[in-house]
Amino acid sequence: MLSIKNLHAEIDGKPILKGLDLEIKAGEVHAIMGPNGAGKSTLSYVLSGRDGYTVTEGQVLLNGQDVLSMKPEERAAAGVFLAFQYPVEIPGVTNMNFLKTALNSIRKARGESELDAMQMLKLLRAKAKLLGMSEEMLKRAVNVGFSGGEKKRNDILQMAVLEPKLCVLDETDSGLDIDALKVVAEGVNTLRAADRSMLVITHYQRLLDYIKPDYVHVLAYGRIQRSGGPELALELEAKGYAAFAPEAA
Amino acid sequence: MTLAALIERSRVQKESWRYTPLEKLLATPISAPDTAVQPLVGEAGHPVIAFRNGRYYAATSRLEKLPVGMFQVEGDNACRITVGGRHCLVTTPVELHFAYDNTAQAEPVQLYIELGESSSLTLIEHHAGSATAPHVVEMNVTLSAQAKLRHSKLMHQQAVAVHLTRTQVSVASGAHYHHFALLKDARLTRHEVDVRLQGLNAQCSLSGVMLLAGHEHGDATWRVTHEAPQGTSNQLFKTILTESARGVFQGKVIVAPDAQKTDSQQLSRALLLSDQAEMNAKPELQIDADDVSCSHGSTVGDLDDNALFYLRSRGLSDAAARRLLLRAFADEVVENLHAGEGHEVAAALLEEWFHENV
Amino acid sequence: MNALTKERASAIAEQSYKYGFVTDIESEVAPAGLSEDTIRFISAKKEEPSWLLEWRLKAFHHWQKMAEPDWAMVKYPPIDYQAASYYAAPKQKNKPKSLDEVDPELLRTYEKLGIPLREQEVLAGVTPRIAVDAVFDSVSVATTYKKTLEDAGIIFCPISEAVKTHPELVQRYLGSVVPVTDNYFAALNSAVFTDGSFVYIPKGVRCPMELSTYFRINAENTGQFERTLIIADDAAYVSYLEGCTAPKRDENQLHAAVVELVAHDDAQIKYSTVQNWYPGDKDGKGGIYNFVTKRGACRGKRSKISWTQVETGSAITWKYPSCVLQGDDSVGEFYSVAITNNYQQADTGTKMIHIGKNTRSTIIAKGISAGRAQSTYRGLVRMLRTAKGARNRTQCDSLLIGDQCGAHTVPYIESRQPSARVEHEATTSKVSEDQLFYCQQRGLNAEEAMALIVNGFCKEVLAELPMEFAVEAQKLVGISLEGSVG
Repeated sequence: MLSIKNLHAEIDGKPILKGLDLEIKAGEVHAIMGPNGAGKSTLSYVLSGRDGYTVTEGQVLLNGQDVLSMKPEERAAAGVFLAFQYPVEIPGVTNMNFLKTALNSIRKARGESELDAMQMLKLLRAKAKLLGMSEEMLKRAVNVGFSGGEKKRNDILQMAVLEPKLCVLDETDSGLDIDALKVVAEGVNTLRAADRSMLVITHYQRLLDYIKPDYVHVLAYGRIQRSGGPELALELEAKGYAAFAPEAA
Repeated sequence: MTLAALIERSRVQKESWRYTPLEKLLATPISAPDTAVQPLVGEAGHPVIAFRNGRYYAATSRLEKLPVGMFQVEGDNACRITVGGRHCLVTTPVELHFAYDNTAQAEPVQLYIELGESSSLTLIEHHAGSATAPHVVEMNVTLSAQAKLRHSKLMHQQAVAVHLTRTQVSVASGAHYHHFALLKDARLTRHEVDVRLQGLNAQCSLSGVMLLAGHEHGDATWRVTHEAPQGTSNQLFKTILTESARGVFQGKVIVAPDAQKTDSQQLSRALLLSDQAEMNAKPELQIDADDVSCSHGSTVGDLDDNALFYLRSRGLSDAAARRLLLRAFADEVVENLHAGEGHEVAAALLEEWFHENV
Repeated sequence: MNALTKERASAIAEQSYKYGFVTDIESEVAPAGLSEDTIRFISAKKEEPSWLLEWRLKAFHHWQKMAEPDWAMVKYPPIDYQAASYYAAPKQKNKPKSLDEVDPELLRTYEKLGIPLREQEVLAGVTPRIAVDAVFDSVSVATTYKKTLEDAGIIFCPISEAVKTHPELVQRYLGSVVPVTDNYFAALNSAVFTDGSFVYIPKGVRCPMELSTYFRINAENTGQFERTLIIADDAAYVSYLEGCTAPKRDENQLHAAVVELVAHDDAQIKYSTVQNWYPGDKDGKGGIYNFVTKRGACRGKRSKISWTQVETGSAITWKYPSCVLQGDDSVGEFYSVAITNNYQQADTGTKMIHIGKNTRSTIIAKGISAGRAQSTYRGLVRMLRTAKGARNRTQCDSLLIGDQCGAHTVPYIESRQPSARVEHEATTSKVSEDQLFYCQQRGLNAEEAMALIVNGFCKEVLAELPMEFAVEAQKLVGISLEGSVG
């Protein structure tokens, strides 16, 4: 599904990722853990195509397609979904309208027919119900006046509607209390599927109690320093990141 | 600037003077007041630079505590305050006393205030007097990089005064100009402040309270021009009007094309306490850079009926409730003054005015 | 803007103004120039009564003594008022009595513009039911649904016709809201106005359909000077929509209109404008100079006048639809979206004059500047001593797209009544890279993202438009900003 080879990326000329490799197969959930400044958010922005992050070397393929040459919206159409660490507020634009516009744009890019208002309403209601969200939330402006938890749930709703191939969850746990975290994790788990891969980026192990990964990677100093099963996360929790400096790896 | 020059300026800059037709307002005859004015006494320990009818007045000045060379008299009506050198911190507030009586023609005052790099100064202006003739005070303030000036102005004079002042400030990189004004008791006030933020990260905060009664006309016209990136400006102005007073607040923010990342806020509020009073507000934004956060708000109205009722239901008289709410209204601005830079004096002047007029 | 959006911008097709075609039709055009003779010529063409000619001449003499206003934040070379023609009309043998007699070329023009002139099509449900007065250059060429409206006692006709058929109404109200001496452009309009719409809604009548006037400038080197007068008698209601377009031409053309509204006791007038005059090309060449005086008088108790405008066209817009709130408890509203792109300049806003007790006004103005455009909100809220308990709330928001444009806010707040409350708020911001990126990450392209965000920004105003036009207006917002991302 996702193949990252020797990825080097920099911000303002400062190298952040220095030769990152990662392979994710369809249906797998991978977790990337790492200390602050390891390049976790850089990875999520490089994958989704944010401006200002320059790739100097390496390649990223999604089902064989070169992701790095695509615009952000093309990546979205190709199936890349980034759940933002801090979802953005867009005053005056309702969730309903936003999702409708987004989904139809993606369907169009994929050569599928656009959904009309009735079909869309039906779909959104079904998805909201699936995630246990109120319909009232659909009528509100995107993330405006939402609590931290509501914003994250709103992102998960978008994920459910847009049905991406690769979900990148960037520090989804930040700013959430344990109850909100459970609700959001439940949403993510509902959306796990055989043809959908997930990349969970987090600083803390606690998120992985609720979203169980198949593989765990330690990202530090711009590279994957170690990979392993879920037990690696527990080891990290016990030893701290210091043990994963390049010399120690 | 002479009065004649100022009148000429008001003729040319029509828009800036639209609510304060200077010539017409000066034409109103006025008689001298019957009571004498309390002489200004500086706070113990503060150096004092005194002016009488627009001329430097050594008799009531106290220069001994000023650093050598900081103050210079240049010609008849021009004076210079220089805080030179790097990191020169004048820790004691310096008071400027302006007194006017009817014994001599008021001369226009020209003051130059220059702060060197990373230096700082606190300046407190007091205006008092019983003069009926107009007086003009012009100040030119230059703040070098990282300099900091806290500048407050308090008016004590009789309501017969015609008080015309203009302060022009240029603020270099990282420097901060802080201004507070308590405007009251003048039959005509024009308080002009023109700040240019010329260096990266330059800051200014302007705040003021204007109290107007009788047939007084008060005009605060402020302009802040952001000429360099990442500047910050804050303006807060409150006006309370009773009887037949007329108030004007014009606050303009200009953001030049290069002044990206400007952050500018302005709030002006006015309370009309009489149906003969009049308030004119013109908050203005002129923005030529896109990556900015600029806003202004302006309200004109009366005291909140619900709040008044609430206080009265707790036992306050109508007048006491009003005074309390008015005080809270003004305090939000006066809070910008630190202790020792006129805060106590300002509080006392407010209390006195509320007692007389509410 | 950054490299990524720039790159995308280059891929965006250049802005196209789809109404820029010219209708090939034989016209009768008055020789260029403005003098008493021009006015006599227009008056004679219109077969006007002598009082109206006198009224025009009075306006003209006053205009000659006036100076063009220079306080607005707009720049343009001096206008040569002698170079333009003040009358142009398609040649018709006789005045058409029905649509069948209207020149087919004209009908095709309106068809191309998407304006329904044929009632049967409308009834078939193709387009919403709207009565239209179509003004082509200096004359009204067709008015639909006259019969249906007449049955309800409503007068909806060209003003030139109303002068003949209802002289007492015209004489009573014309110039009563905007006097001939009001301002330079209003005086000019009073002297040379050619056509426009007249609406009278009698007591207690709720107009059964939207009324609409569609203005089209076609001829070269002519100005358009229309005059609209709408009167809603006691407890009457009318919703009126104005649209306008012009061909692409390299020279600037002048449009100086006057609109007067009068609302009596309990009457309501809702006036909506979608202004899409040719804005000039991307280098600022050509485009309409739009100098318009619009004012409504809420004369009656509990009357209400609501202005909604979507201003996307014109090289220069100078326009302040206002309300004079005379009647106690009367209501004035102003909802505005002004979009300027490339070299467009707009200085627009409103005046709310509160005279009566408990009068209320709301102002919501959204200005969007892109390219090298300059957009100014200029507004006055005045509470007179008599306006006890009056309220005003104003919200002005400016949005900047790119670092070459300007957005300005110039409000005047004047209050003489303590129990009156005025609240004004203004903000200036840009479309954030975060918002754009967020939308793009969800699959929208840069242009769609911009259109979506700007439509969200304008939402409160667009919601005030009659539903049929809200959709059009939303599209127009997107089209007006084409080429602005980058």
